[in-house]
Amino acid sequence: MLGVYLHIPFCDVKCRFCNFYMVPGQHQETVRLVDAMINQISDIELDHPITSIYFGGGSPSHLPPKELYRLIESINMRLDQSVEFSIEVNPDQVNKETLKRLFQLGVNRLSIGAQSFRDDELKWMNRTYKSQQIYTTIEHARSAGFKNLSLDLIFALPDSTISDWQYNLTKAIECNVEHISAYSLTYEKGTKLFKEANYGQVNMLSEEIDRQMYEITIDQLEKHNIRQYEISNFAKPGYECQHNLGYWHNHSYIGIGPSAHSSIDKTRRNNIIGIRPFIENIKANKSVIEEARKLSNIEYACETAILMLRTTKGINTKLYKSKTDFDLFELFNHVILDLIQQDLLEKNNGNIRLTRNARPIANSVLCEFSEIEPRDISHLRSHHKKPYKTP
Amino acid sequence: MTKKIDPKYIRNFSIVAHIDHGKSTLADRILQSTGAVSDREFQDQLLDSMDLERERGITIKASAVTMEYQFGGDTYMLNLIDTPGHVDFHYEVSRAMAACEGALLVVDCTQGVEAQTVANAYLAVDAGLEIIPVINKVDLPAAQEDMTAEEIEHIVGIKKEECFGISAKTGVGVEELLEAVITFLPAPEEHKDKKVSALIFDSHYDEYRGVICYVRVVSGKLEVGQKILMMGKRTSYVITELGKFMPKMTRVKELGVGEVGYVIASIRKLSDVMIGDTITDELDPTDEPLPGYDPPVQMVFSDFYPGSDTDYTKLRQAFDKLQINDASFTFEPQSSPALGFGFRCGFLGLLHMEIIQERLERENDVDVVQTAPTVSYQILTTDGEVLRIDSPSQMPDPSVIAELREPIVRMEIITPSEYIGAIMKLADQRRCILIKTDYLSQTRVMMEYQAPLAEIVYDFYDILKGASRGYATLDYEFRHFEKSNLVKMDILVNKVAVDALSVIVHRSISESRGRKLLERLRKVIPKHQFEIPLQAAIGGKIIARETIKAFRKDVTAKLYGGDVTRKMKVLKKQKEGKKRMKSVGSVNIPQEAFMSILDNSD
Repeated sequence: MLGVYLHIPFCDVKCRFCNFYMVPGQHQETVRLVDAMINQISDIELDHPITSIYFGGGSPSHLPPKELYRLIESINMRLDQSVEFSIEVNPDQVNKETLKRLFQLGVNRLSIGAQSFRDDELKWMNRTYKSQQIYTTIEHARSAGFKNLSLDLIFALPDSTISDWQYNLTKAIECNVEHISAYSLTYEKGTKLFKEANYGQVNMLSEEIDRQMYEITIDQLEKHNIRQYEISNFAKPGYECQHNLGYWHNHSYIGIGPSAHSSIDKTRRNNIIGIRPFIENIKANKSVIEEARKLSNIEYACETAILMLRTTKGINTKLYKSKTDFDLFELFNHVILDLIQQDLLEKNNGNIRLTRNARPIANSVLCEFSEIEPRDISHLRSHHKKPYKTP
Repeated sequence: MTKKIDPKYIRNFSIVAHIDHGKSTLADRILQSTGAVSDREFQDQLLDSMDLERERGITIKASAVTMEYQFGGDTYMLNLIDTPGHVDFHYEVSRAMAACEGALLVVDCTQGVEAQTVANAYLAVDAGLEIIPVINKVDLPAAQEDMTAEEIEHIVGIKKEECFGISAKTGVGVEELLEAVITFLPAPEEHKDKKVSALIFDSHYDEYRGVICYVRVVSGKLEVGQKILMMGKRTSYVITELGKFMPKMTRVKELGVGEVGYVIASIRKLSDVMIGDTITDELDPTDEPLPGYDPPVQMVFSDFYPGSDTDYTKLRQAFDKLQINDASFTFEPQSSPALGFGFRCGFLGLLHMEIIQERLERENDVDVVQTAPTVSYQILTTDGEVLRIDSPSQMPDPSVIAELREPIVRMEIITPSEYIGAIMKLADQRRCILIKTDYLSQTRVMMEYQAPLAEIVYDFYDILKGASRGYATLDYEFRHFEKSNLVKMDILVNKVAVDALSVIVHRSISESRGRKLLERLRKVIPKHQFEIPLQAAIGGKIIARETIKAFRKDVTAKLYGGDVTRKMKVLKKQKEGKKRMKSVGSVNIPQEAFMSILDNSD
């Protein structure tokens, strides 16, 4: 299994809440960057077949269509089977023709960065389109042939009410898409929003309302057969995003483009962040890896547990063992027992998963898996012949 | 100096003063005037040998210096015995004074008489010393010599005309003062009984020579090779070295009546020597030891637990090291279900505690978590037994308690009169009883209180300073244990009583104290996944309650490939934060919660 992630670090404007690496405004270096990325793609050593492709950003749809197509064609050359091929698009950045062409090129899943169906909210976020354009984009996508559409939505905006969110949810459901990602607004360091919240210029919503919005989302989407399969992701059965599931199952993936991350053979790498140095290194045939870190077996096992627990299916203990070589219950015996007792974890068909109660407060549960506790290490030592290796 | 000196040419005296009133500076000047120290050797504040003392401007350990001084054609031997400035070391001060015939009471005339001046003056009077009042810093523009002299007259009853105005800094008046020491202060008198008795008024530990005892010979004489008996400890030694501090240690063959010096006798541990003990000749002992032998009593207690970078063993080693130089500091292993393994430490008083704390950090590089200080209580059981407890957890079952007693101190506060109102209000809140108000001058007042030590042990001094814009000074002295309507208040977190949070309080204020405590805990204990009831209870009866609401939302919305490393770090940090807290039942309590329990402020 290998996912390929392509990062396009351009946007028309910077959103209020965004801390991703991207460059606002038109950019002269688009062509050179696409050349460099194509170069990087051709250098991928494929020990495993590519199983999913995801174009993200930034805004991939910010690229001139011609450049976007070039990039797609180059990745297509590395495919030997039909795979899930997603691309993020902004409603005002793609027209009917572009969508048609994308579909013809093999893109089979669109992730539409809708965020909200309320124009006042879109304006506050610094998005450059109106809600009407979301409907149009969906219409064009359908007519182009797309059978797998996803909408991104954000809730818990400052001063928003339950009914504001209810409105957005209803509109999203009416769109009859296959997949919805609904994110609670995050106040990330380095964003305009973060500063505003710090200076008290915006009122963060209370945890209570945030939670209510989250619960409503889970319940309402469920009613329409759009089922939660991860903390913030919902899909009609069979339409779960395979690429993203790859992250939560800690499968390997490779990142193309500036600042993109890769994870292969328990080694996490990230590419150079700057566009120009990225291009120059590729040209000079130098590595674009800025940092690489090989995880210890234990670290990898901790990570895998945390990632898998984000999915509603939870940790499949067999899959876990095959990925990490550790028995989940040996590694986290006490932690799991405690959390089950607190009704935060539960067993289900051989899986260990978060209870419904635990989903809104998942971090407080997941953090328990961030390292092995001494009480569990001693358990490993005393009961097993195979000595526990310190990382 | 081996020739025998007639006691009539000896003067033993000490200098007593409030902090920063110039005691050490005066001592330095006297050393220079007598030529005991050459200018080349001179190092400011020579008597304070520890860095810490010099920095804090406080003399922690007594010291003794022997000087020669020519007067009227005769050579006199002056022994200056330094005393700790603070009455936390009340007992040590009193023993140092017992080694003297006179005292110089130094008052900074830009400040006037302060609380410690009074406390020290009373001690000197109690010890039967002849007092020479010294008004220091007369050279400063802010000097108020007359007013200070009046205050001294008022407090000690010495006529203001008898005060000496000096400047220890410039040396003005110091020669005259030394002459006064010879003419006004009495010479030592010899006991009628010629048998050996010498008072140990201080001791310190030397890495190479073992314990060095500071002694004043009262009768008979000490000689090298003599077999001696410590009368209080009932232990015997052979003197291996005798000497005087000139101020460098200078060997002598014998120490005669009235003389002050040191004794070395292969004593290994500081705790083998008790200050106030009497040394006599083992083969020909005196019948009566010198009065005033008393072991040090710890009045203030606090728990020290190893902090994040320190382990238990390291902390224990640090305490062992401290105790070598300070036998009045005690520590005992202690374990708390909430805080783990640590030590319960006993101190003579608050200042003593602060000094130990600082030395612990400075000299030992250890990181500690310290609980709020508490005092020691007495319990009279129904069997008529008197127990002493220094922690609420040691409290026996209420059914066997006939009487609970708390330590009471006499407290003196000296303040500009405009702050009387504020101070009376503060004192009232802390169950202090006003004994008398005494105007030292038109603008300055001495207020004398009877106060429960528990009420002033934690933050009283800080609040007093705040209420008086820093002008009020405070001193206190332990008096007795007194029956008091005290109760043990338990704190229940999520229905579980947390031992380290229980407190002993006076019943009259238990409810308000309980409410405040819970409010504070509500702020420092983080939200959990469930609601946490907090309760204060006395004997099973709930007297106050609070609730910590459950947190409702705590989840990272987005976690994709590029976020993993960063989010792992965040989660690890979250877990570490939890680990730093002490888990009681299913609730994590941060360490600051344990410090907040004795915070009486509003």
